[in-house]
Amino acid sequence: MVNMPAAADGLEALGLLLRQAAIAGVRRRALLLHAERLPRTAGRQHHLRLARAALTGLAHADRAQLFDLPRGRLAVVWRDRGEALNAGGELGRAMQSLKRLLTDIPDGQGPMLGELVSIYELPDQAAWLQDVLADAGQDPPPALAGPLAPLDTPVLARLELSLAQADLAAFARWRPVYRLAGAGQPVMPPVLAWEERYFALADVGAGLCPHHALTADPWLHLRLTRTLDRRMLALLGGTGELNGIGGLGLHMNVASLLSNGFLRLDEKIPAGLRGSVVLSLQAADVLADGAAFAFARNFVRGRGYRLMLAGASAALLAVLDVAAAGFDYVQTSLREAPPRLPQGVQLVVAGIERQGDLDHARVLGANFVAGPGVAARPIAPPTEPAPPRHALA
Amino acid sequence: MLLDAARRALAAPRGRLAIVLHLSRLKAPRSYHGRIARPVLEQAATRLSGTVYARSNGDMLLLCQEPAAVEAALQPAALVQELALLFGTDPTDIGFISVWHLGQEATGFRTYLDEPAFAPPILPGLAEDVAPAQTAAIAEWLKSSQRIPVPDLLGQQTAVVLHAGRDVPIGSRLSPLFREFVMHLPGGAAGMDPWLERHVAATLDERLIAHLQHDLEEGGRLTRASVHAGLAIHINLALPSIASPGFGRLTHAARAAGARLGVEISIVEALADMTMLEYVAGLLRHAGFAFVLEGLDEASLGFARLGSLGADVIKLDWSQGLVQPPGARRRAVEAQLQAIGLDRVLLQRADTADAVGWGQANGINRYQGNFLDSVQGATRMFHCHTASLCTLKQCVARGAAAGTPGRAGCSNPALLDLPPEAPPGADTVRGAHTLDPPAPRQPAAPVPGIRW
Repeated sequence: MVNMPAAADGLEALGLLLRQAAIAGVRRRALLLHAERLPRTAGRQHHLRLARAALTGLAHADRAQLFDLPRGRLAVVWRDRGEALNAGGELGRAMQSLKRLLTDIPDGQGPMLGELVSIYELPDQAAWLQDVLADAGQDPPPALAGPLAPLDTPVLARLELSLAQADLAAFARWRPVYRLAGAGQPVMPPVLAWEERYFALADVGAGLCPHHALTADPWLHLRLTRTLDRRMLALLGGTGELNGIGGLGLHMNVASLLSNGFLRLDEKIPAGLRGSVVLSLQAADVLADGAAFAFARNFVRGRGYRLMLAGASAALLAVLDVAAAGFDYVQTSLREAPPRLPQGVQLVVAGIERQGDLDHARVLGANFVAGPGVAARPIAPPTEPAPPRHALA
Repeated sequence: MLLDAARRALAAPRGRLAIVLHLSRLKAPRSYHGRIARPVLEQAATRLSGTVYARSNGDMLLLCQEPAAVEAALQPAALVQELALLFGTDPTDIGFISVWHLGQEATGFRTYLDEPAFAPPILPGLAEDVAPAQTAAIAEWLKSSQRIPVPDLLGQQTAVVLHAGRDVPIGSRLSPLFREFVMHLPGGAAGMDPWLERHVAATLDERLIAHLQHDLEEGGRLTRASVHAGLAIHINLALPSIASPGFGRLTHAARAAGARLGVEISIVEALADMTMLEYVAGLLRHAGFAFVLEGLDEASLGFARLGSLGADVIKLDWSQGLVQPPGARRRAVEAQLQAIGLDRVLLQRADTADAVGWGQANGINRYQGNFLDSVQGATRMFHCHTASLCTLKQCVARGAAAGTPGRAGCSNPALLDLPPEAPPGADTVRGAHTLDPPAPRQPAAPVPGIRW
């Protein structure tokens, strides 16, 4: 995360970003915290600190930038891939924290949550936000000793050391991915296809590095994922982790697929199951070392694993030939879904939050969907028995 | 151990089979090749009741009995196929994988064993170590680099156009294209974790931009010669740095100084945030700066369609893998070069005559690399009245340094910054690298979701 140091600079920088967003159509989401609406009581400084702390989770969001503004206002701008709005997402958690803050203020003295916080969709609402900022006044910003700090290399080095020794099993989670009925078939409820095994990064951060945002700097975040990859491979290689497992999804770095840790895991996965293991890679990782990617791809596909390109967008797919690169799946969000994919490549739409999203994903031709909006649905058609927790894809 | 086993096999060759994976013959060997290939061979060894040996040059040898059963007899061929797929090579490339049925053809195996086992240098790249010490070392370097003046952190290299003309010496066929300033990352970028590398580069951007702005405003030594010669100055920046207020100030300084700037964006950076890429590409275009994508390698040419991104120049990394890749890959390379447009391709890291020769054979005439740096150094020495005090290697190294410490010992440092003179009648470089509106070019095919 980029943390702007002074209010005047923060206002200028945010103004510049808004103008850029308006001109270029860069899609971001912005949250403005109207700290000046907090009551001027003895506890004001405490409330300001709590309000800033409440935004800690948002600082974990993709490409998050925090702006200190005049009159104690704070703004966070981030790239929302659709997950942040979830109840369990960064924004959802931030709002819960702010609600708790407001309950600490005596009745009638504090603002409503909607008065304290405004959320803007950029670039569409950039002009609105600029109007509000123009009214920001020139009061000196209150001195805040906030907990938000961008991850830097010294902290990352210490975190990597902690991660090497910590038991991360408590941070490991499952995230289901569901198969949709094919085009031309009757609309059926989604069926569990595979489950992604991942570490809940926000929880890892809260547990091991509570004062730093782990994903705000995209490159240090990716570096961190290499350490997490290694721990995930070790975790999956542990006793009982793979018992009864069916479809499995793993987000990996290319370097991790070529590591001894992956070779050890490969030995433990039965040959017949490898076709149900989906390995996800980022586009930047694919292009960072094309030769290494090509070798890793040949290796894992030769062993029978499936490859998925994660975080894809229509613009990305215009420059990355996923079929030629050897991907079986492309994972994207509803907003970024491409108009079509090459034959043989299947579409996974993540971030499904409600029935409308699911319907939209069907219209887009999604083969698979993921998100809390799907989890709430019955996962098997009534004529078939419910699949086991780790069903084969 | 290998030699003992081989000797025993050759003493009783009947029914014995030797399969050799010649990793030492790889054009671009990497440390993971052996690590991944070994279990593949070992699994085959288990099926064939054989043993895998490693030679000191990295080659791997599977010695086993000839399979007797019909289905087992297919396994050696299946193994060859599997290895060929793994390495993306042609299964008929017998130079890379050898199969000797020792009962019938022991001579080839004997000759192979008699050859000296020279291990090729393993290429750096794809840092495999994720030790915290590595991150800590980077943190320490970033801290200490704050005390180093920006020019001392920089290297410079002049990209050139190599004009045709068989009878003209190569030094007289070079036109300068632009001068690139590159931050020297700790230990070189090679072998560093790619993500740490990006972080370090982005961290240093702010200082680079500020220094360049100041240098342009003051007519400083770093940019003076390039501005005077009308040579474009290229720098590598992260996307957020191009959208920063500092870059806006640099733009003004460049305009005021009459400097031509080009900004090089790593492909990794570009694909990590394509929305931002779209925006900064527009900024660069509006400012009249060249937009360069750098970091394309041979393997990525097979699936990256970068021609549609509207870059003025796309830098292709030279590697030995470009020389006669397997048929399908060769066709993909050729098709991609054509799709990008050869007038937009620059071959970088062209450090050898072979690299430049490959480029010329494939219609590329823009280069950056040590080979042509040496040619420029030799030309420089020809014109230098104190050349007798230096070696060519020293002159080339000093010409590659932007800071004063790297030029120590040169009696004629002004000559180090002079670009090569364009040969008479040589075409000027079109389009990019000018503050004037670029010459109209055929618009790239529209890209869904991208507005230029």
